Amino acid sequence: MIILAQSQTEAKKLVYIKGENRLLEWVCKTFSTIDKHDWYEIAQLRTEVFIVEQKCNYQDFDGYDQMSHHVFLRKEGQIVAYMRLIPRGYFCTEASFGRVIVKKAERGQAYARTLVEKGIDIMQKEMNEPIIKIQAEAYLQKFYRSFGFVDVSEPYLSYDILHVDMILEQK
Amino acid sequence: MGWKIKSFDELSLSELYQILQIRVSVFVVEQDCPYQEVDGVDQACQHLFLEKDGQIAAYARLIPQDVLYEDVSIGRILVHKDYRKAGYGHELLAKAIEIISNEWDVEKIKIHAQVYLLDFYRSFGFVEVTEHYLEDGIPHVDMIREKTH
Repeated sequence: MIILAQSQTEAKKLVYIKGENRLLEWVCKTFSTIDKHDWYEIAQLRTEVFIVEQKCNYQDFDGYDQMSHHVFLRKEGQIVAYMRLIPRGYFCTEASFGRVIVKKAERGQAYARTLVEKGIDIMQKEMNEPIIKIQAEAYLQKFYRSFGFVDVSEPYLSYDILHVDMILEQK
Repeated sequence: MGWKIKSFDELSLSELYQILQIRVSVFVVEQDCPYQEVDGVDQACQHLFLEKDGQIAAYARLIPQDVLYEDVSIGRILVHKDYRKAGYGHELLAKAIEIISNEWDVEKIKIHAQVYLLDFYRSFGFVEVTEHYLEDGIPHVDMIREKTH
């Protein structure tokens, strides 16, 4: 399978891991370069997880997507993991990432770890964001600590879900 | 500005974003209903909308036969909160029916109507064909409109 990247930078962002009879393709796109069908699939996945699964009647399409980078994993043609990377000065003073998702049927294979690793890497190396601040769902605190994030707030409720603010500073 | 009708392929990414955003703000947030709003049917639909001041003031999707139901349908009918009580809802539904009757040449339209809008749909010639039932926690009734010759 040959995938044409539009630029050197984009080429660097594409990593292929060929497993047994399946192709995993990691993609990073700015909003304006994202394919409409891919965007729809991402919107569908975000709705599936943050609205339906978490039973949360909130506005998922909050207007921060246009300035964000969107990282996703395509497996056998389907988007199964996703996150967005928000440059500093929009969501908060610092750069941030969020909407971290692995499709329900694809959990338990450590895709989330690879996803977040790639996200952090792109933010530090390509977006020049040495400080990343996130609103982590509290049950994932340990997961984010394992990347070096430290808590910078008490746990608090946002949309009835317990969150904690965490920061990662590039060494 | 003005009314637009576009297939999924004709929509720009930014139009698609705005459509999903206004749909979520009405059907998920305002109606307090955490359901699968982005349901995978839109690729097959025609999207009818009114743009005002750079935003979508009114919207509906026209669903071809055998996509959601056997019959052609109209769904996700909404008017943006800031543009209500100005007659856009009527204009929207009238245009949707006109496109389906005249351009698609289809005689019968079936909708899953929210019960509180029963009179609105009746005024367009829709008649109830089921009892009231709950869909995603909201009372609905199926209604059908046959083209009058």
